[in-house]
Amino acid sequence: MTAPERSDADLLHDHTRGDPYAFEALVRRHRDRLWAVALRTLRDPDEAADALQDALISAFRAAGSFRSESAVTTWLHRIVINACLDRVRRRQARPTVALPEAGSGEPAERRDRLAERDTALVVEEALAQLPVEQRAAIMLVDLEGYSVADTAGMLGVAEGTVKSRCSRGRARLAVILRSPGSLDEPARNLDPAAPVRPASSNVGEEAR
Amino acid sequence: MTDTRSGPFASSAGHPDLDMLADFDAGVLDPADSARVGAHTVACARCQAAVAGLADVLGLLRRQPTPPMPAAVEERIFAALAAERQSRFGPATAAAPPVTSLDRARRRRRAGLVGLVAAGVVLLAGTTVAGILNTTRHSGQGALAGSRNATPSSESGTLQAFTRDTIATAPVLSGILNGQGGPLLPQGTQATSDRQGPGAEAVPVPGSLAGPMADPRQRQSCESGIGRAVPGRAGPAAAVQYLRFEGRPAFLFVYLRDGHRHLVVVGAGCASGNAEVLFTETL
Repeated sequence: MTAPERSDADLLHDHTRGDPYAFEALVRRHRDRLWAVALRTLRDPDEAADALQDALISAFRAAGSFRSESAVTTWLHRIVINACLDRVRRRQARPTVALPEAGSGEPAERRDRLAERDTALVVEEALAQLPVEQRAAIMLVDLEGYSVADTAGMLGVAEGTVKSRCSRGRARLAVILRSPGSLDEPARNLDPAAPVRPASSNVGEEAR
Repeated sequence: MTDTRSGPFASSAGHPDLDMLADFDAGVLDPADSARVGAHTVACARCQAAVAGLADVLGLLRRQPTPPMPAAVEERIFAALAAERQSRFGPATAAAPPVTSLDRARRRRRAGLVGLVAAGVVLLAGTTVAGILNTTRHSGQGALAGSRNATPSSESGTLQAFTRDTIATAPVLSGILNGQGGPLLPQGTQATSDRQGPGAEAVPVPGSLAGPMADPRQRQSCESGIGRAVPGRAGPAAAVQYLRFEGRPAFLFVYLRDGHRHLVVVGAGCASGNAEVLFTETL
C-alpha cells in the first residue's frame, strides 16, 4: 500500500507551506544531476560543493518566488548554474582544475582501448576543454536534455545564442575527441575545411 | 589536402569549415549561408561525413552518465540544509537526518564506515531534541537485523533503521501489548524505549521516540493525512516512532483496532499532512 511519490511541484509547494522536510526530499531526488552541473561547470570539486551549497540555500529561501510555468528542476538548475557561472566569472584568470574522477591517474596516451567507463572519462575531459559558456549550453541541452528555450531562460541569453554555443561546442568536441590519445570514435569526424587545426593533428580523409 | 572542389567558402579547401557545418546542422546559419552550405554538403561526401561526426559527438554527449554526488559532499550539503531547516522551521525539526538511498548506504557500509553494533546493543548517540537513546534489550533475530541496518550517526543522526522485515521490532511497539488490554501510550508517546528487566528502572528517553511528531500539530496533521490515505485509520494513533525505514526517514504510526496492532509507515514529509504511505502491516 504505497502512495504515489509527491511530485517536484508538490514538494516545493509543501516546503513553502511549512513542510520542514520537503525541500530536502526535493534536493535528494535531484542531487546527482545538480552536482553534475556544478562539477562540470566549475571543474573543481571543492568549489562545486561550495557553489552548490550556496545555491541550494538560496533556493530554499527563495522557493516562494518559484513560478509554476517552469518545471521545478529547471528552476533549481537555473539557480545552480548561475551560482557556478558567477564563480567562474569571478575567478576567470585562474586555471581550471581537471576532474579528479576523470584523471584516475592514467596517462592519456594509454587510453587507446577504451571501455565504456573510459569513454565517459574522455568525454568529461573533452568537455573540460570547452569555454565555460559553450560547456554550460552543451551540458544543459545535450547532457541534461533541456530544451533550447529552457536553457536560454536559465542562462539568460537568446535561444539563438544557445544553439550557436551548442553547435560550436560540438564542433570543438569533435576535434578534441578525434585527436590522438582520445577516442577512436567518432571515426567520421573530420573538419573538411581545415588542413591544420591545433587540436587535431590527423589530416582528414579525402573525399571519395 | 588535394581537394578538387571549390566553392564560395572562405576556407582554403573550398569546404565549409567544421564550425560552419555545425552551425548549419544546428540551424543557426542565416538563410543565405544555410542554402550555400546545404547545396555543397548534399554533393560532398566529406562534408556529409563531418556532419555525421557531429552527430556521433551528440550521441556520446547524450549517453554521458551523470557523476554521482560524492558522500562527503552529500553530507555537507544536507547538513547545511538541515541547519537552514531548523532556523526556518524551528528546533522541533532538528531530528531529521540527511538521508541516503539504500544503495548508497550499502556502499558506505562496504567502505567500512559502520561499526556501531556491539553485543546486540545499539547506542545511537544523539543530542537532538528528538534523540532516541535506545537502551534496548530487544533480543532475537529481528532486533539483530535492525541493528545491522543501523547506519553511522554521522549519516543518520539518531534514527534507528528498519526494513519491512524488521519493523515489528521497533521499540515503540514494545510498549504496546498485542491489543489485549496493554497499556495505551498517551498521545505524546513519551515511551521509554524499553524496560531493562526485573528490578531495573525504566530508562528515561531524552525527547521522544516521536521526533517531530511530538509536536501535536504536526502529529494531527499527519494523522489526518493517514486517515485520508489508508482506509480505517482515521483518528489518533496509539503511538508513533520516528525512524528510518528502508533507508528513508519515516514515521511509524501504530493503531490499535480489533485486538491488533496496525502499523502504518509514512515518509517524513507527512508533517505537512500529505501522507506518503510506505508500508502497512497488521500484527
